[in-house]
Amino acid sequence: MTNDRFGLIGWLLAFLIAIVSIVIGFVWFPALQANALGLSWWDAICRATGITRPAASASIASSAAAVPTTVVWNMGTLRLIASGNAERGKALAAVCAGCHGAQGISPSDAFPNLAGLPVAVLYKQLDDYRTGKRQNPIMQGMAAALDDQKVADVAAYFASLPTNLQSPAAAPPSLVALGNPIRSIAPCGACHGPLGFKEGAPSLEGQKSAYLKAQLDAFATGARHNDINQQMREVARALSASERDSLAEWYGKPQR
Amino acid sequence: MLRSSRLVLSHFWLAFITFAGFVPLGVWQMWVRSPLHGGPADPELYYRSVTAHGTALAYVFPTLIAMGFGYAVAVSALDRPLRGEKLAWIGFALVLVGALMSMLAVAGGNSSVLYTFYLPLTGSPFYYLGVVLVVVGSWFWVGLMVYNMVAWKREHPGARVPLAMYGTVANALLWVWTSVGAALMLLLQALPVALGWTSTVDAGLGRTLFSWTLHAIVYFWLFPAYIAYYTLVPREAGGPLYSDRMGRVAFVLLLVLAMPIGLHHLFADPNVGAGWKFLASVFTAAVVIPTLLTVGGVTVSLEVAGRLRGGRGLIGWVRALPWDRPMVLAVGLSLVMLGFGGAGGIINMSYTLDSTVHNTQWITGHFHLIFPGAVAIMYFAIAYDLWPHLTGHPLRSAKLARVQLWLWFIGMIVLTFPWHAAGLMGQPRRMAYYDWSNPAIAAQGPLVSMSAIGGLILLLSGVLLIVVLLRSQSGEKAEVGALRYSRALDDASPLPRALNSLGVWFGLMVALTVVNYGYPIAQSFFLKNNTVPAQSVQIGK
Repeated sequence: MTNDRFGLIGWLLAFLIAIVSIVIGFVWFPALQANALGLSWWDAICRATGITRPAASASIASSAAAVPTTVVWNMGTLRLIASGNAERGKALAAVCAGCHGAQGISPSDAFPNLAGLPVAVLYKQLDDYRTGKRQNPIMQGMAAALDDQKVADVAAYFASLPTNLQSPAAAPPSLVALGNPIRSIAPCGACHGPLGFKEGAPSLEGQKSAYLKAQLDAFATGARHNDINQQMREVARALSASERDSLAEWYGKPQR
Repeated sequence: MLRSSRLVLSHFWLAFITFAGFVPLGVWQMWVRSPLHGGPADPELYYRSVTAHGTALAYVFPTLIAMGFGYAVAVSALDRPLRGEKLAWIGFALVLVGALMSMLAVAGGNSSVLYTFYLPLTGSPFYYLGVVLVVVGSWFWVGLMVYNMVAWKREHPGARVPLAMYGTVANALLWVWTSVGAALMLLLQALPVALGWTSTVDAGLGRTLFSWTLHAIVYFWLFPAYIAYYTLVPREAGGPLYSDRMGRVAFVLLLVLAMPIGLHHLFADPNVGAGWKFLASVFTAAVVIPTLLTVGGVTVSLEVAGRLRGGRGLIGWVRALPWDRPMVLAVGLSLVMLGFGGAGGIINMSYTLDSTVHNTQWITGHFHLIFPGAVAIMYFAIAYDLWPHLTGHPLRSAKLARVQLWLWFIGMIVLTFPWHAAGLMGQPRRMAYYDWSNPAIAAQGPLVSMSAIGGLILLLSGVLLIVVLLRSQSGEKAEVGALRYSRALDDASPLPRALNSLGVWFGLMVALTVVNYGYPIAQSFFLKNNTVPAQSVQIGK
């Protein structure tokens, strides 16, 4: 008999604790938060269950010029890029050979190699020229003739060419391998190789040194500003001129 | 000799080979991050090592021990041959193949996703398939444990299921339900992206499903240790178990509560509403009850044994205990580590306090105190206890075994206490290296060095374990008698039916899972904002 009574008390207690904690977790705490955050009661309770409304985004004033790029890495963009047709792109790319080489390997130090770059990188840069987010008189003129699909086609063509990317012969310098945490400099190699690659970040090994140097300088002064979260401008500003030189030198060096 | 001793011994040996192979990786990880090492290691190698250390020692090693110990309990506590031994061998083979497969995939450098998977990171499909095979192999064991208990009950109507078997089946049921979360994540999310069938994955859902497994899996590892606390320790100490019924209550409470509370691993995840997190915090607090019941029950049993051996006074009984026996020494050391680890765990489970320690080195410290500390030291004691019954050779070098247990305890304390301190100083876990030239973190350097030394002590202890087991197995044969379990003071008193079966508790566990996880999982069907492109860690992708 006493056993039964203890059992009953145990169950009731467990049930009571569950009810009280549901009230605390889903009603009381949200109500307190509602005051602090200026939410309505109902919104606060929904929030506690995990349902949120998209935040009103109008508060951040943004002029079109302050937006670094119109490329967004969402599924639509990735699908568009994936739909690029290298054959069509080859026909469109005939005009590119003058500066970037017949096989995407540039004969001049001033112009970057394009062969075998990640397709998302090629797409974004060409699209940024088209929308004027990245500025260069020649390239903006070239890109103006293209539409979304054609940009993807050209990107697919250059991505399909055999790369001249080579593995480094020597261990990467410290800025490439480790960055410099004290100065908030992320390791270059984490996004641009050889350590790893991020969507939209070009692989740099084997790229033209003079071109890389010019781009780093342009990021540092803000003349180039199509990096989505300003990460390249931040890093380039934090680097000294001689560091920018030696990084461009290392990545551009004909390696092995 | 125990029935099915080859089966049990195979599980134990494969477990300890895995142990010996992958403990050194952990030591290496600590070493290369510490100021004792010249400079940073290759981060790629570091994360490969973390993935291998975790996968081998958290998935393969304890699963094999739980399976092997379960078979040993089934044949000895029920005192009859194992039914379905062929299936048991198939399960063993699946675990072996799965372990090899996942370890090769990790060694190839294509699967450094860490053993917690971290979707949207995706590794080689062979890695995921290997882990799935290990889990599927363990499901054979689950089926056999339930089948053997049910068959025994049918032939012994009204008889009470021996406590060791009751706990083993409770653990099997806990495991089969808790492994479903990770299995769903692996089969429905990780494998499709790893095989290239889809390019996006709902990272929030992946983490939610994994947390379903992530917490209760620790209780799955813990159960064999608790079973030993209740059924082997009092016998070794020379007394009875204080209460068989209390053991059953602790087992069923663990079964019901352990699984649905994994949500507290998502305290920092934005996709889960704060209300659910609070609820998880409350339910997690409830797990303290079966743990304290166990600590209390075992301590009382030890006191009874100590007084039976002539101990007097408030703590005189402690001194009277036979500390020279590995099982008694192990339980003493285990309870100390469980105490510290449990206290840290209470901080982790508090929704607000957790924000101080979340994803810091503190968590690594907590986890190592509990699993490789309090739990694994009982695995060693179980192995020492079973070895004569499995091999027919009595345990040689009992003194070496005691040294091994002490070194494991000391090493674990030296490893984990500095981790806790560094975590409170804000040191994040799972960093491939620390920049010791940075004055902001330089003060943590000596702590990391201390942990590395703890790791070396643990390595030495691990070597001694293998030496003791090998030496004993190659010694002279002798008659060792049957494997016996503790008698309980309340063995003869009537038992409520609910404490002699597990169906109702299994049902409660499932119901509580639906309460805690139903909505956080269901929301992924209409909230799509957690779906992100998969990030392959495979070389060349």
